[in-house]
Amino acid sequence: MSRLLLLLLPFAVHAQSVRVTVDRDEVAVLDVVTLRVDASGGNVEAPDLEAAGWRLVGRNQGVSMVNGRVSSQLTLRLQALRAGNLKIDAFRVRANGGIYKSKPIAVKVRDDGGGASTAGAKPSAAARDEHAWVEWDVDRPTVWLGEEVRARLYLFIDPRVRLSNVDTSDLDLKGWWTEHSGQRRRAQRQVQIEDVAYNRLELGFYHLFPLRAGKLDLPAVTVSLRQSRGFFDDSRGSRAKRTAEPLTVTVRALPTERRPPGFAGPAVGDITLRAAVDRRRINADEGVQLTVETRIRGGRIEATPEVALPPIPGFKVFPPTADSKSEVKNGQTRGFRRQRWLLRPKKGGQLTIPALRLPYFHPSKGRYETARSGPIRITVRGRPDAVESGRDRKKARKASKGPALHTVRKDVDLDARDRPFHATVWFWLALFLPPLGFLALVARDGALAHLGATAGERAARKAAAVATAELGHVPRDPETAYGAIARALLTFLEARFGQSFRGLTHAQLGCALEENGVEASTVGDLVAELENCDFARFAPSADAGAVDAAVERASALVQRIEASA
Amino acid sequence: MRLLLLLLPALAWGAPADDLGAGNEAFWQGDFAGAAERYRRVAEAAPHSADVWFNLGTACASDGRIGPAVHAYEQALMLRPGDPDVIHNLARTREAAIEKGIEAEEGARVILPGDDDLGTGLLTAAAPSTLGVAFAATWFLFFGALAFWRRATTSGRRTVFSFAALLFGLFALAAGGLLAGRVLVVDATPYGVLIAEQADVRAGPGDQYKPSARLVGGVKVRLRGEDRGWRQVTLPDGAEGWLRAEQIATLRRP
Repeated sequence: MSRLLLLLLPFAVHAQSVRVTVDRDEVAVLDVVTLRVDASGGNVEAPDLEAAGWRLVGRNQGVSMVNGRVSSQLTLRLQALRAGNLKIDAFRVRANGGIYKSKPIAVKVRDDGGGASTAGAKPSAAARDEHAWVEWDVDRPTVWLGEEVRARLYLFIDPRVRLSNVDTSDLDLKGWWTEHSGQRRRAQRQVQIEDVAYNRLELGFYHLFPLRAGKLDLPAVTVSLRQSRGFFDDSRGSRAKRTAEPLTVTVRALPTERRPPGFAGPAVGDITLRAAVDRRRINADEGVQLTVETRIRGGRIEATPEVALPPIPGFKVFPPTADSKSEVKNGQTRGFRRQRWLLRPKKGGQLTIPALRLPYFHPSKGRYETARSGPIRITVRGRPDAVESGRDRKKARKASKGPALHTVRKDVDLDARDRPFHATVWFWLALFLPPLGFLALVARDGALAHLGATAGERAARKAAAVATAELGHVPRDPETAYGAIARALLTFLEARFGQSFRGLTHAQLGCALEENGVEASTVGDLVAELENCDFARFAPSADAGAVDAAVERASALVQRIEASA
Repeated sequence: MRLLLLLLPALAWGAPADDLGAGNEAFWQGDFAGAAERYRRVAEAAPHSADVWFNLGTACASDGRIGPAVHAYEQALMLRPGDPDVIHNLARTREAAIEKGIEAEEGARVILPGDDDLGTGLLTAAAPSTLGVAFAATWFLFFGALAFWRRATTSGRRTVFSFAALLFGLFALAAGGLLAGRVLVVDATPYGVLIAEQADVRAGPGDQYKPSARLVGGVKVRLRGEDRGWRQVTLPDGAEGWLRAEQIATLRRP
């Protein structure tokens, strides 16, 4: 207090500034942090560090001059004395009538069992040895019945002493339930006790639960070890024994007032309850599996009673199965229990599994509380009474050892065969019909193109055949034969080109045919043949061979026009 | 005598149905081992029923026998891909197997059940029926678009229908390819499931060979060959090894 209230550092300087840094912003209780003050420009005033929870355990100071400017570096080693956010207030520099401040710094100090807060943190002078001693440390000296106590057995040794063959005598933890915390490596760290550095070796870490109220002792423990002095001491060292003093923990009985009905165990800790079902919609002949999970922190799951399922209207409840386990995680004892019930509906419709409750004592809050799960609604399809068939007269002999599953199917059609779509006839129809349909469409279009898409075109294609047939039936009488040949030719032309050529002169007819693509020479021969017919009609001869020749020329013309148009 | 001959098929048919009822009865009474035995008999008589395999898997899983449960569920999924109850129970059972496997881990390379697609992930991503319907639909639309394209009289419509035909054709090709891969590759590949609780995979067919990994019950493997009571398998991670034949149940398509 006295030496830290005012730490005046006289500096002969020109400019003014002060800057403070620490090597860590989070430490454990009794850890040492290094604080560095860079100052220039005046006298530095330190804040009251002891009042802030720090103890000065070391100090170093240096002065430097660069380009005529003098600056000073001060290094302080501070030991954290209590947990929490310890503040280091501003350092001040007074110069030229003004005050310059550094920024305050906060260091988080955690209490991870460093032992500053318990009676066991500072051993009595009788128990302490100059070089090595053993002591108990608990995280709380007063606990509730059933509450978790974390106890550590520490060996403090002078860092100059080499240690080997450390053996701990058997512990007789009468009155305590010990939770196994698994294999732990013996943790070692350096601590400062009254300005002296020691190595602190954790010999044991016990999670204890008091089994009765009153004063309970952590027993005296004797540790045998072999110690030698210094690195260059190559002797085998001396054998020594150190004994930890017993440590008394006060165990309070659980309060009787406001104890909820149904409290048992004692269920002490932080308990949560969760209920779930594997399905919320079931058929009348099916069952539903209810799973209730109880989790506890800082307490024993073995001491916590199982959740009792109240009568559930509409359900037949089969005996439950339960499994539980406990473990130590992050330095705390945790427990887990899973209970499973098989429920069979006794009626259809909307059924409700009511909320479940488990009263317990919360040691941190110091009062009784009740863990609850929410109600669960189940929809049952159909009427169970129609399918029960007396099955429920028998009780379940064994329950599931496996995971939460959807239950077996009752209505199984052994004839049914599940075929994938690609194995059905529909797939093959879908595979072949579209291409076949498309091919049919293409074929139809091709046929239509070949046959002609319109009646006119079909008539044009038939015209040649009709004309040839008509020419074949031309009478051999010269008076009528040439008229028939001329009509057959004109009828063919009109059918072939789809237009009337009646009333046109031969010259106009020739032009019309050329416009329709008939070759000029063919048109000339046609016009000549028509003129020949006109002439023969009005000047008939008795030559039947001339008629045959005219028919033959007309037929040839029909073929030529058909080919050229 | 003639009457007896006529009744024989009916009598023979009555047995699996009776076993099924007895299996259900046993299951509801909590006798899961007995239920599994009865379901097993029904499955042998009616191996095409996915429901029976599902019941068998559920009984085995409830009895804590992970490997046979996974095998039965895989059989059910083979017969009825996408069945939600089977998928749910198979996932839960695999989780239980993984928990067991993690507990049993003692430094050896432990292979746990997972999706076990053995490199067929894309081919098994969709159910065959889904692929079949997708292929049929896009195949039909492809030819429909082609037909409209032929009939289109304006260039704008021809462009639209040609793009549609191209799109549907590509989809049909993809769906058909996946379906063909599923049917011709995946379904034609022999698989097995480890039904033992655990098994060491060895480098050769015999106990004298060094174990290379440890399998947890329920792991699906690809069957490669057989030699004197040992099966050569491909593990989910692609490695090869040998397992005792009696530790593996083959997945069979009835």
